[in-house]
This record gives sequence, structure tokens and C-alpha cells, in this order.
Amino acid sequence: MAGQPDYNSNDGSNSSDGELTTEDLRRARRAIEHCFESGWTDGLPVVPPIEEFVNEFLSHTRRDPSQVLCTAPHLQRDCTVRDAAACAVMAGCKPEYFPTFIAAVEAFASIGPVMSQSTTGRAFPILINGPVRTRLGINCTHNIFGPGDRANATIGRALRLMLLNIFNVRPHDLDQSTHGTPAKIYLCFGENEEESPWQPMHVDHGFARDASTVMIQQARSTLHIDHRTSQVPEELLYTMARSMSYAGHLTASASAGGRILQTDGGFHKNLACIVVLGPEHAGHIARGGWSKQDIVGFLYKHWGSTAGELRRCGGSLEEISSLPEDAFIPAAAMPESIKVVVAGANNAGESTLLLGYGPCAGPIAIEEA
Amino acid sequence: MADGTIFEERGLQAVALVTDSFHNTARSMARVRGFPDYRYAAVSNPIGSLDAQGIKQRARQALPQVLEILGITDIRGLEER
Repeated sequence: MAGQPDYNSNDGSNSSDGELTTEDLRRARRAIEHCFESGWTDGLPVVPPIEEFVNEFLSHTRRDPSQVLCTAPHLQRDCTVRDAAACAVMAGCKPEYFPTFIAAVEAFASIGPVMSQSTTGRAFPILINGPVRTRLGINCTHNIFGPGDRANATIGRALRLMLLNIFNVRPHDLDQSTHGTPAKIYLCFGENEEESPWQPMHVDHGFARDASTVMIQQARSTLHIDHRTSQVPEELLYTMARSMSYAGHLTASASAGGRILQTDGGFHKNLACIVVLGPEHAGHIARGGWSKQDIVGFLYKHWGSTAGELRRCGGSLEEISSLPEDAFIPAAAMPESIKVVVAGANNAGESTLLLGYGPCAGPIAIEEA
Repeated sequence: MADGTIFEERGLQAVALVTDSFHNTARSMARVRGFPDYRYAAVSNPIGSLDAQGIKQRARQALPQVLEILGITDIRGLEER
């Protein structure tokens, strides 16, 4: 590898110039293996959360280390500020990321750890807005849902390590996911505010533009939208609405088993979607004169399915059985179930859907020490 | 399982029902709730896709377990519907 340090040239004796010795690395590896053997990891190596490291993170917040940030009464577990710091250390966060992670945990608390036990195997996408994105180096452009950016990866990963280690929600045990999703490892991104034609998410929610915030939702996975051959807002958005309406997401919600048919609209009270518009799509739509509210209204109107299609897929709610073949049933209970953000690179006609369940948690303000 | 143990804590007799795909989770949840030996009834998976006849079969599977856990031995007067 280019630039790889040559540790092999060091014989393991104590180094006087601060260089790592081979013996240092052997010890580090033993510490990493100890974490694996102790069952503290998500399957990847973690940084051992020794007290010195945890205290370094705690110095980046004014919060009392014993303050409870998130509680799970049914599991009889709480996550304190100190617990959160340990998880952030383990995930590989830098200490200065810690206030952002605290906000993420507080946002997550309102969703509740119970939702992390579902057979659906939900991920918890973390959306970050405001100046903290540039200060911490949170990726908002290329490859936002892929690997390579420390802040995105480790802040997102710390949340999963909290579920694993503090709430003990582990696979084969309290985590009942049938399949899960790679997005459960981490899913954290920043809004590309600089290339968005609209005001950012946190400003939509009443925050000042120079505030930094965190928002969280539950999502099953990321769903890729590729449409490079149109600049017509209606065509782009109709493509997204039909993608939001895929049978595997809607049929279960239209079936017996406790789901609620909304008399005033959609057939599931909690279906929700974050529509992550790539800047190119966002630009086409904005140039057509559309606001974010217009987008939400259009998507809400076309997100759903006909009674006939649902019946063919086995949707068994009694209310559907009596409807005409072409009766369209909106999926969501209300337009507010749809959130629109702009993120990703401005290099292709691509967007991503984060389909799952609402309501969104946050935005929560990030408190700097 | 959490609900069942909460009922027990409040002095209400309850039997938690799970499908047999969830033994691990059931045992873990009972342990987490402070009832490591908590007994529950298990029926075959699946449930959600069954028709009325299938659900009836699961009920038949569950009933003897539920009665035993509740300590009910005299079922005179109970008849299958």
C-alpha cells in the first residue's frame, strides 16, 4: 500500500521518537482480539474503550457523565453520557464528534430501542445539518451511503454499538431481524446544503441556518433511483413515487395482522420515507418551479397502490377486498410522512429512497462544549 | 415476553405466546426482565400467513401449554368451539 509505514524495520524496542513499534502493534492487536472475545464488537474491530479515552471524549461535552440519554424500560437498560462516550470510542470516532453523537442518541431515544428488535431489521439513518458538517468532515456529496468517510462511518457505527453493548440488542438474541441490512452497520450522512436549491432540512424545522442538528428515522434499507434521461419534474417524481410503492413494502402493510387502514388516507399509520434527491435531480425539479412542499404533495398523491394490485399480491385487509379494482389507496397517513433532503454528488441523475417508518426524530440541536 | 413479565410483576397471571422461531429472544427477554425461568407457550411458525383453519390449529397447540402453565387441570365446562 502506498504510504504504508514500515513497522517491520522496528525491532520492538521502545521508540524514543513517538513512532509505533512492532511490539506496540502486537499489543494493540491483542487488545482488539480481547474486544472480539468479550463480545463487544459488531463483527469489525473496535477501539478498546479504556477510561482515559472515554474521559477524553467526555471533555468535549458539558453533560454530566451520569445523565441518561436514552432508556429502554422493557429491557431495563439506560444509556448514559458515559456509556455513549464508550460506544463512540469503540466505533473509532474522534473526540470532537462526541457532541454530534450525543444529539444522535437523544434523537434516537424518541424512537426507542424497542424498534431495533423488529424482524424487519431496521436501520436508523442519521441526517446531519449545519456547519458541523464541514467542521467534522461529514460527507454530504460523493458516495454518501458508501464507505470511506470517518465521521459518517463512525458516528453511525457508534449508534449500532450502543444498541449491541448498552441495550444488549444482539443478533440471534434480542435482535430478531430476519435478514437485517448492511445499513444497520452505519448509515449517517450530511445534507448537501451547498448544492441544494432549497433551504435545508433543519431550517424547514425552524432552526437557524447556522445551527447544527441531527435527525433520525427508521429505514429498511436504501433504495436506488436511477433516471438520467429526463429533466421533467413530474416524470422524475413519478418514477420516485412508483419506486416508493414497491410491492414488498406495501403489501405487508395492507394485510391482516394488526395493520390499521386509515379511514382518511393511507393504509399504514407509520409508513414514512426520506427522499434523498441527488443535486442533479433536485436542480431539474427546482428549475421547474417546484418547492419541497410541492414535491411532498406530489409524492404523497402517487405513493400507494390500487386495490386490485394489492389483492393480487395477497393484501388481505377487509377494507381492500370491497374496493374497486382501480381504487387507489395512498400508502402514508399524511404528507408529513415524506421528507425531502438533497445529498450526494452533483454528477448523475440519481437519488435514493430511505423507506421505513416514522415519525422522524428531531432535528435535535448539537451542543458544543 | 416483556408484557407477560410486566403482568406477573403486577400480580396478574399471564402466559406469553411465541412462535418457535423466537425461543432465543423469548429466553433472553425473560432473563433481561428478571425472570430467567419464566415459562411461556410456543407454537409453530408462521402465524401471519395462516387462514382461519391454520390459526385454529395453532390455538389447539397452545391451549394445553397455557393451561399447564396456569396450573389449570380441571377443564370441565370448556368445550372446543
